[in-house]
Amino acid sequence: MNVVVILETLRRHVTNGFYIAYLALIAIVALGASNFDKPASLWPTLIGALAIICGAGVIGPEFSSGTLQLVLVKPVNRAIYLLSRVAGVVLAVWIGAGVGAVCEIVGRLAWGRAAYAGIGLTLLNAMCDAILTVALLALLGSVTRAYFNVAIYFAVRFTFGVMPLIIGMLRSSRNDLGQFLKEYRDIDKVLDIVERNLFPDVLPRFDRNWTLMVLANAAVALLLACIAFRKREVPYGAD
Amino acid sequence: MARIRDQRAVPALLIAIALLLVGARVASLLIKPDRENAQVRWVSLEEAAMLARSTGKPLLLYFTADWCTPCHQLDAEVFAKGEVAAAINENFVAVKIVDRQREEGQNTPDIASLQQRYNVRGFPTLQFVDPMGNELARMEGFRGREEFERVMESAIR
Repeated sequence: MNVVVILETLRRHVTNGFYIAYLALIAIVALGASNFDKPASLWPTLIGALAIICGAGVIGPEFSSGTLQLVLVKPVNRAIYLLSRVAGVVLAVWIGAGVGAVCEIVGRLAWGRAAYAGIGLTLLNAMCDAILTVALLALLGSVTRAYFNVAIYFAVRFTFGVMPLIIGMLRSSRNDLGQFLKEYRDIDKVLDIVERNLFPDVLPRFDRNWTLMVLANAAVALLLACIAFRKREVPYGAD
Repeated sequence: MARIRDQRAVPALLIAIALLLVGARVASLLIKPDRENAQVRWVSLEEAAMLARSTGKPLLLYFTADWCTPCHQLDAEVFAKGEVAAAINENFVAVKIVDRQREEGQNTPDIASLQQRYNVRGFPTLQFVDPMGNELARMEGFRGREEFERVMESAIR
C-alpha cells in the first residue's frame, strides 16, 4: 500500500463539502434514531449509500480526467495504486460509520436508553459491507470509464431485485421458456445466492459465515480489479 | 522492461489473502456445528425479517404462551435436543412469538397481526414460511419429536 495515495484520497474526501454535509446528515439521523427501541436502525443504510457514492469515484473518473495517465508515468505499481485508492475510500466510509455509531451511543446516553447491544456489531458489519461495495465499484471502475461503474452497479442490483418478479411472470406463460422455468426452479435459488453474495444486507449481529462471505467476495473483487487494471490502456486526456 | 513488468504485477499478498479468505469461507460452510450441545437461536421479529432476507433461509414461527403446558413439553422434548436445535439453526431463522393476551389483556400489534395472518387458534402452533411469507408447512399442538421432524423435513424440501 502507498500511504501517500491513501492519505491523499482520504484528504480529498474529508475536505469535500458534500462529504462533510453527508456526515452531518448521518449524525443527525443517528441521533434521531437513538430514541428508537431497535439499535442501529437507520444510519447503516446511509453508510451503504456513502460507500456507493465514494466508491463511484475510486478510479473511473481518473481515466477520463487524464490524472491517471500522469500518475502512472511514475514508477508506481498499478495494483498498489488501485488498492491504496480503495483503502483511502474505505477509510472515508468507515469514518462515516464511526460517526453514526458514536452519535447513536451519545443519543442513547442522553435519552437514558441502555440498548447498546448490536450497535458495535452493526458497525463492524457495516464496515465489512463497505469494503465489499467499494471493491465491487473498483472492479467495475477498472474496466469502465468515469461513473459507468456506479451505473452498472445499480443496473445489476436493480436487475436482481426485479428478476424474481420477471421469472414469476415468465413461468406463468405457456411457451417453452415458461415450461423451462417451471421445470428448473433452482434458478431462483441461484439468483438469490448471487444477489446475497454481491449485495448482502448488513446484519445486526455477528455471523461468521456472513463475515467470511463478505470479506472473501471483496478480496476476490479486488484481485480481479487488479488483474483487469494491470492490462488496462490508459488513454491521455478527457473523454 | 523490468520496471514496467513490476509496475503491472499483482501483489502476491493480495492473492494470498484472497485465497485464504475463500478457503476459510468454503471451510466454514463445510464444518458442521457441534450438534449435541446446540441450542435454538431464537431471534426477534425485526431481526428475523432481515436474517431471512440476507440468508435466504425460511422462517420457523413458533407461536406459544407462558401458560401453555404442551409448549413446555415441546421446548423440553424437541427444541432442547441438540440434534433438532442444530437442524433448526442450519435451515431456518427461528422466531418465538409469545402470546400475552391472558396476562396483559392484549398482544402487541405485531404479534396480533401475525396470529391473524397465520390463523393461530391455539398453542403451540409452528408455522414454517419462506422469506416472502408463503406457507411451507404447519404443525398445531404437540405431537412428539418425530412428527415435528417430519413437518420440518417437509418445510426444508
